[in-house]
Amino acid sequence: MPSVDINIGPVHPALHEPEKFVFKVDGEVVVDVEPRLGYVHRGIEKAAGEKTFTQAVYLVERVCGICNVAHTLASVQAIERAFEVDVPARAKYLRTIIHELNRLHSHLLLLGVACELMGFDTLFMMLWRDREVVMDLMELATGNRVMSAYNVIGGVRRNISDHEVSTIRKALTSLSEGVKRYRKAFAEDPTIRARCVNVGRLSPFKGISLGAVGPTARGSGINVDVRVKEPYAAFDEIQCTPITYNEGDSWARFMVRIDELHESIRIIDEALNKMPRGPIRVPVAEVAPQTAESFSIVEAPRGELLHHIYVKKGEDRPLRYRIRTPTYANMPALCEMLKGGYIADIPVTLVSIDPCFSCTDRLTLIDIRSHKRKVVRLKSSI
Amino acid sequence: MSLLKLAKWARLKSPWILHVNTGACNSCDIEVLAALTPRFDVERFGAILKPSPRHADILIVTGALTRQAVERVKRVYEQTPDPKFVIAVGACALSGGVFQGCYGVLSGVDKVMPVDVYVPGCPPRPDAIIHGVIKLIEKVSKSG
Amino acid sequence: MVEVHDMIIDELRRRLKGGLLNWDVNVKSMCLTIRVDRSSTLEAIRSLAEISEGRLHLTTISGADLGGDSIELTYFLWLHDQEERILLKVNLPKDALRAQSVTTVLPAAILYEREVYEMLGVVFEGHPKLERLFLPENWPEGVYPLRRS
Repeated sequence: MPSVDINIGPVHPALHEPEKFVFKVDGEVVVDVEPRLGYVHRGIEKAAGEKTFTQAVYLVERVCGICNVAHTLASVQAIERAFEVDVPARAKYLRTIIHELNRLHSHLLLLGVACELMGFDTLFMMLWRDREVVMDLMELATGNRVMSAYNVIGGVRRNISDHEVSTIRKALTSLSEGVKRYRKAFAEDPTIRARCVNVGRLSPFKGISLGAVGPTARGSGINVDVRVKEPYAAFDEIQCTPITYNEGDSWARFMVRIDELHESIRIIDEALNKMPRGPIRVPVAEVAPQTAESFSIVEAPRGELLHHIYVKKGEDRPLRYRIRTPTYANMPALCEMLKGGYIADIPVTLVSIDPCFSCTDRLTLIDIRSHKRKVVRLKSSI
Repeated sequence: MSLLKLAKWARLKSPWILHVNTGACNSCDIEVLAALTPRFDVERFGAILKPSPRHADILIVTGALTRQAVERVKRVYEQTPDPKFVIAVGACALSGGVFQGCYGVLSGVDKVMPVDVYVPGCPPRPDAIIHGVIKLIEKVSKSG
Repeated sequence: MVEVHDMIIDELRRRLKGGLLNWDVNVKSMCLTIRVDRSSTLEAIRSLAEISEGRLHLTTISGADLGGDSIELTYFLWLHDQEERILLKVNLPKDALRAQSVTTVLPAAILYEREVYEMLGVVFEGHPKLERLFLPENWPEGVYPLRRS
């Protein structure tokens, strides 16, 4: 029997973001899949080419609204490395704390969305109710729920008082209790197991060769975690254990995230204990002190995130700014997982990599201000 | 006439929502979703999120309207049965926000469809989004 | 750390001969940066894959037009077994933007090569499906958003 093409997307109910997939199916089985990216492609580079380093940080924060802290962190670290700036120790700890709070919110969000897709609305609502605890902490520490604009070149924008530290501790202790319940639900609930176990399998070999990152790779037993392997911020002083599961299915990927919730809570607690007193920000020159190339890799909630920049001496804008986001890296692995599965399993497999298409589509970024900047003629393309 | 009255009454009590992302960064989208969850609970006003434009009364549109999304968004709008209302959520949907001037975006959903309520913010809080929905319900109840 | 670098450089020197142009260790990030001739790209990647026994992770291919007469490609690699970050750099002259596709060794490169092709106009020889990835269908041919001219 010839296979049939099924178009899913770009506007479809399983995702809250537009993306299109063309599935070749034979009966109920997916034979091949071709993603069509770019519906959230905003072409950030042109606007960013007119922005200074400081402004660029605010722009890259809006590459993705979920893992925005990871983006600003990678961005400021890359710029600081190019500028050869040393950040105060307390700022590094504060960055780590907010980075992990961001991970907590992102993982709770994804697990909730996964439950919604499996038809488990109760757990979805419960996870999102507890996620509000984290959002409150974000608001307390940074002043905003989502776009925190917390990391700035040379340090962080706000300090955390001792009173706030105790509020954060208290809230996380209660969150930790909730996470234990959710872990039990994901590990044992027959509905969740029926929808996730053995669905969307990815072997460790394929995972490596297709370049899977983050929880997607760790769910296939690949021991990668930038926080451990290439420590940044305060991770060289904070103990952090990569969480891996060997099953390689959607269930394993969800379990990795649940265990990471506990790990993140522990990291925040350790960081709050070890955090030294002192300044939180140092002044940084507005223009690049030397021509340099630098990069920064951080473990975003979805995996390895790279910011790569070129700067030119005396320029206040990056010469070239490139971002590689984790969902983009996971696309080939996702296509591999979907092949051979049932049509009905597509949403669960899709959500198990925690897809973030605004990340994927943002495109490489920022060009520059060269004196003869090329203007792309858009009008001809409309 | 009484049938029209009944339809209007029903519409006010159950404004169903379709969420359309036209190239947002996700932050508005998660706040729209957060508005549906227990802390904020927009469902107490009868609004629920529907997956199909054919079931929707209200389109909540987020994002800076990318070139790739334009045709699709227009189609979603056309597929929504009359009477239909549009709420633009977030700075990007209002004016393009930080992406204003990027080659990939048209900046502002009101360029392709009429917008009834604008909710500013980057991103707006879920409370603000609910406020926008209430404003729209008020507006509809006052109209003939 | 240093022994690993020496081992990698020795192996590459043996395999690539003149194709290995130069290398250094970035003081700040402690990672090895290797520059190779463009005709040795595939062989360099293959050697690194063998060194790490197939456990080679390609983070991304980053292409940059810095305004000169060439385009610089940077392959960000991670060797799982050695736990080593390596940057592989290749320069392509603007009048002959052709590079070797590494997809036969690293399937992960499929999307990255397509992106570099779409944004900078670099043609990867041997790529199974070199098509556009992000840009709209009606984007004009021959216009590369990240190129400077």
